[in-house]
Amino acid sequence: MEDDRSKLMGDEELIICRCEEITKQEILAAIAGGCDSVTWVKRMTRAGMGLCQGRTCGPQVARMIAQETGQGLGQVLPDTQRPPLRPIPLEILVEQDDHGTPTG
Amino acid sequence: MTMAPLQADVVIIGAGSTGLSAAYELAKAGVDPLVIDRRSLAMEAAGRNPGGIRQIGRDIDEVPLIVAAMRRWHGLEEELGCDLEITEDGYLWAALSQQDLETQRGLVERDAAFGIREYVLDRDQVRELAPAISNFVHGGLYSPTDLLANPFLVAKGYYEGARRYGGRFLFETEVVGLRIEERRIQSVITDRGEIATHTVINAAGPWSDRIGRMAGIEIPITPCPNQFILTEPMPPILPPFLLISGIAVCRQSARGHVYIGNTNAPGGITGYSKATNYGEMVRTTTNILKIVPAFRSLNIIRTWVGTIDFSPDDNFLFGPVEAVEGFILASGFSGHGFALTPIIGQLLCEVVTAGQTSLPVHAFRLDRFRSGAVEKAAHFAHQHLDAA
Repeated sequence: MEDDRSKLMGDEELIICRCEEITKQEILAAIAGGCDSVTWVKRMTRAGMGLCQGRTCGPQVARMIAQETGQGLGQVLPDTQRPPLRPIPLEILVEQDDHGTPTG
Repeated sequence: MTMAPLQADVVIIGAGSTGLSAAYELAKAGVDPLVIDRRSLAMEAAGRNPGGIRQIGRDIDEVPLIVAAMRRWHGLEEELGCDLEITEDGYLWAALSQQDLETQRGLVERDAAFGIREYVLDRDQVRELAPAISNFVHGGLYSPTDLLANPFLVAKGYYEGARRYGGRFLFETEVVGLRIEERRIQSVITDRGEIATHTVINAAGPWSDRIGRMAGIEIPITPCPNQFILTEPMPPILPPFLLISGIAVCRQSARGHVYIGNTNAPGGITGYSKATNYGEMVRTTTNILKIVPAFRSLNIIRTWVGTIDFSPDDNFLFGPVEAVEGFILASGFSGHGFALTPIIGQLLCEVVTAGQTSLPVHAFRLDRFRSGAVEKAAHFAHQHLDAA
């Protein structure tokens, strides 16, 4: 069943991954080229590699894979979640001495 | 469950850089290769490395191979018919002491004999090249023609290239045994069935020792998790790929993201863990911020871990083994494998089709460890930066 969201997605130039600015067309091309998981769409197009790490586009990409390949949405493998859960600045990881002074 | 095909000229175990490149070359040469992987395409080092193609700082025996590999890389996008995002970013191998600089000076002349252009830079010249680099760096060896490529696109390019020539792939299939009769390979037994073949290429990377044991062959590799930190993008401040022995590798992508790797090696953490290691994040971050302080406030958006298969001397293991006819080894790349991708596939194809290679590979034979002639590699695991 086509729902309203898929009609909205009719525009091929529509950006699905906002962080890396990857369009619907690019993602469809990757799926047509054999990418049948969110991880492989990411690896081929960069969708999900940006600042939000696929939190926005991941579910949409999974849905597009399900639609295009005939897999059930539950069968489409999501991308691996990796630390950090949210962005953290490098400097808070700097080793500190006993007085809390960064050694760097 | 798909049933495995019953026969193949060559069975390649492992769909990483080595296996994919070998599959492409063999299929193109008219041999019928079948690649088996317990998971899928480029799931380990081939898809987890930072994409650096480095000529500098190689073992003398690897130099002719990297020179030949560079020639192949330069034509590879055209050959495979796809964009691999190859760019000439260059490599800077940082010297942290005057002694490091002396070692690097010795390499310039050695490598020039092979046509590699590399330069020893003093501290000011390093600053000119990359003003963001701090005084911790005394100078370095710079190779302007070293390359970068996108490992995912390289894997896909070889995969599709191999398939165009008729190469076959079995993913999600695990090798559980090898049938050997009268010291000759007869078949590969998988969890989906048995494949008759007289030639097996063991390109299973950190698991190549398990495949070796199925043939009664001891393959001395140590798996070591290598961890990457990826940051949000910032305007470009680090043009070359930065290599700091025992400390970190670091590069900034064309889009501005910063990759920081921990260069873990035997003597450090061993095993197959894919979990992000907090202690290693702290060590690497503390060190890299001393070298490039301008990265300080960048947000980390992802970390990941890949397993490197280290050999006892840091050189890879290559070629047929005496004990079992038809068993060909290509593993233990010790973190140097990605850059060698095009030439290793070519050499494996030569071994299979001609029984000899166009470049010297004697130094990489497995039995070098039996003769006791090999010195152990001096790994630079877990160094700390102490003084500027």
